[in-house]
Amino acid sequence: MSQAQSAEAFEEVAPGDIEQALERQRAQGGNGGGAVVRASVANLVVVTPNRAAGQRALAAVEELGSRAPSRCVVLIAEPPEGRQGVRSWARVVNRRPEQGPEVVWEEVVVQTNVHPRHLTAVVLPLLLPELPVFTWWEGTPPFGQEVFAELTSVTDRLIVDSAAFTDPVGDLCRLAANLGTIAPAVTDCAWGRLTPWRELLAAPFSGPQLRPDRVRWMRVDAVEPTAGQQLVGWFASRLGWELEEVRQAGDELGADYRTPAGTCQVRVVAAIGSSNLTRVHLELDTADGPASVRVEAPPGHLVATVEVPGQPTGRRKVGRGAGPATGPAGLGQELQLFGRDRVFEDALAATAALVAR
Amino acid sequence: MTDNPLAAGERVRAIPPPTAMVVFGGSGDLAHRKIVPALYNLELHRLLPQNFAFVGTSRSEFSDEEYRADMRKAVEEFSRTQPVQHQVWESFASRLHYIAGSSSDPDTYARVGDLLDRFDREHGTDGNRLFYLSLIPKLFPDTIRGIGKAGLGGRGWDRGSSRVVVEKPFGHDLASARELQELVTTVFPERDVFRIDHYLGKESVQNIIAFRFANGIFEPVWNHHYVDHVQVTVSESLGIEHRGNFYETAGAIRDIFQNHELQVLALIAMEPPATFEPEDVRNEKAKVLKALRRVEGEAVDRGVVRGQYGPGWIDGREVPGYHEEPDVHPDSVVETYVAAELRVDNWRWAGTPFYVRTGKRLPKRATEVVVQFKSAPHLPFGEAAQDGLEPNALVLRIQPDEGITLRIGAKVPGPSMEVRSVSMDFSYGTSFADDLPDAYERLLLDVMLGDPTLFPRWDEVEQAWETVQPILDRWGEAHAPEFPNYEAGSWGPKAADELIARGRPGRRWRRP
Repeated sequence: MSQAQSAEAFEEVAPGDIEQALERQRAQGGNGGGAVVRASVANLVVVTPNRAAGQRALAAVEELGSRAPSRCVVLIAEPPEGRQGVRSWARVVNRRPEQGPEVVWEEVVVQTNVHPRHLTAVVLPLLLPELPVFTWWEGTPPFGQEVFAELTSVTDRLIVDSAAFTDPVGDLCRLAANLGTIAPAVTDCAWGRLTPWRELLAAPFSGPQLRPDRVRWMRVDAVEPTAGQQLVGWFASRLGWELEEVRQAGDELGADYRTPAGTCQVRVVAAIGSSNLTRVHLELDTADGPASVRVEAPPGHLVATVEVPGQPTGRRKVGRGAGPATGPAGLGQELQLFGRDRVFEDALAATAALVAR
Repeated sequence: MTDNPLAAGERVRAIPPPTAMVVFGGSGDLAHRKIVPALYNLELHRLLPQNFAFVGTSRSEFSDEEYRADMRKAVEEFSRTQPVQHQVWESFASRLHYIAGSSSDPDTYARVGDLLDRFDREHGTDGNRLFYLSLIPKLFPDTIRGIGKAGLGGRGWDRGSSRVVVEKPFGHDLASARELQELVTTVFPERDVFRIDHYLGKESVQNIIAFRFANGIFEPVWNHHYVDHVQVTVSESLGIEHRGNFYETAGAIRDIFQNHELQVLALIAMEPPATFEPEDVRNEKAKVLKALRRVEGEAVDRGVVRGQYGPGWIDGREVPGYHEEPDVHPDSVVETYVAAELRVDNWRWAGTPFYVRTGKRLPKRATEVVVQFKSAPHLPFGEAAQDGLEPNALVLRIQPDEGITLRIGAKVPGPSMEVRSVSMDFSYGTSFADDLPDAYERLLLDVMLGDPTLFPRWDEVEQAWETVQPILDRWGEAHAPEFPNYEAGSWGPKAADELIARGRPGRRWRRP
């Protein structure tokens, strides 16, 4: 979508003057300077550890375009060293697509090194009232620490990206353990990026020839290890597989599951590529003999290939729509969801069981 | 599908079952502009079933390859996503086929049937058929009979689903609609008949339902106690373009009023459905259409205004009158404008008029609904102080700038207590702007999924024709007004202004 964008430069303002500064900028920029009736849908709080990460977060939010939240607060939470303080900047962004109406949102950047227990007090006054709060925690959230508990207590939906976890296996297990203990719904951008893969893997099972409970072999070539593990966790949780054995050999993870129809052998293999996974291959039984489902990711699109006994090979190429491996595309999708994603939670629990062995 | 555990959850979108689709009129304008681009976009966004195959059929001679090349051009011109992704298109096009044949030739249907059997074997389409009648209405009967005689229709078809999509207009009048319904239902049961009205596939029309039933504060005032009247406007700045032949047999009342506008009226006036299940929603709409008071005989002369545009200026250029348009009879009395006062005779709306108008060559393209509330019972400000104050109005803007306008009274800044009307405009786009799917994408997907919520049921269509038929009858016997009676670029005949003002002095059409 080609877009013209006008954005005020960030204006440094005292935290207490942020609302007036934004109001002034809105009046100058929106609808020819007249009053603008705002349609506000959500707050987004981005928690980052330093300015560079904050810049990356802002760039990501700007790329969200029409999915941008009404207000984005980037919280650069530095370690509480030296003299503690708060600096803040604010601006209104107007985006005018070639077609369709103008989209307006506000960005507030807060850089602070106050003690973590005060962070909530810094953020709370900056949120638009009553609207849901999405918190995107860059990198690994400090599970179990006070700051994590404080900020998630004012959050409706916590967004993480397990592809950016420092200790992917350990952090994924900690994320799974936290699901039941923190209030907000939790989501993982890496899981969101699996959606096109899951749609293509699910589609062949909507016909009569293939039954997902007859899958007996599965190989996932994963660029993002947590994505490959979560895909296996998804199959296991949806199809009622019970984990029997796990084998780790270098970058390769192997597992045996007991399935309602027998057993399924699984391999998650490390791969190199431009998307989160490069290939998923299922083998299964049908009444007429073995069948297979493959989804692959050549550049620019996805290819689903289905081989069923007695039928010509079915191959379709579709848009990828999964976006880059990390970054704004996944975040934009997460901002559309409000409630808890039970399928994700079940898959994450099964994933944690797999990687924790 | 609910029995596919991998398709569960909110992120994985509903996946239609395997489907073989047949488009009669497959080389026509609609296939080029809407149907095939919609299917391509569904495939691009992974919304078509894994097992999908398509055959277009019409009289023109094409090989499969020629048809694919022609459709590629159509997608390049009309797809909402550009550029066309070559790999996706090639993969999709390999499942496009073409059969040349006449709708009156039984051999056409035999060959279609053979190809569909081949699709089942080669594409795994599992006996599920979707027939799309993208034809001029006079070809409907032969085509439906042909499908039935070839044994492909829904009745007696036990190898999967067999559905039919019928483009509007469904019938030319009440009698022909009933005839068509009788014919269609000899071949397909009502549950498998999808009468497409693309207006209902528009996000903005569905938003009427969301606005009314997701917001508790409007419901208490949504009735004759508080609403003075309702206006439904569908105005187009375009003329009839190249559709003179069609328009001469239709006119504004058949083209827009009988279907789009009465459907929008039903959404505005309906009672809250218990659930969003298809039959719950359609039941409530059908009740409204049944409650529409019939305007008959001489009452048509008073309650319905028809018009036809003469030459004028639109968007800074001079445009011809209707009589000068191609394929239009120079003495044509076909209406390009219609406005009517309708009444919904039920408890909620007793005494509240619904003014419905549509026209071509009006100053701008706009679709909107105005809910005009009654004045406050007492205004304490003195006559001069409230000179510019009008009653509250809620405007649901459907297109082009989707949103809501609320007209409220506000104090004029200054030392004196003067009040004026101000408009508070809200655009959905500022919160939910997105690359929205085309209405045809949504509706085609719904047909494949077997969800008829957004398709008018037969009783709705029949009630709409019962409303329109007495008007057509009267027009058939009464002298037409002196046509043209409005200038292109104006808001229609003066008689339409008189119509709305007759109900209560001061009532006027809102200028969109």
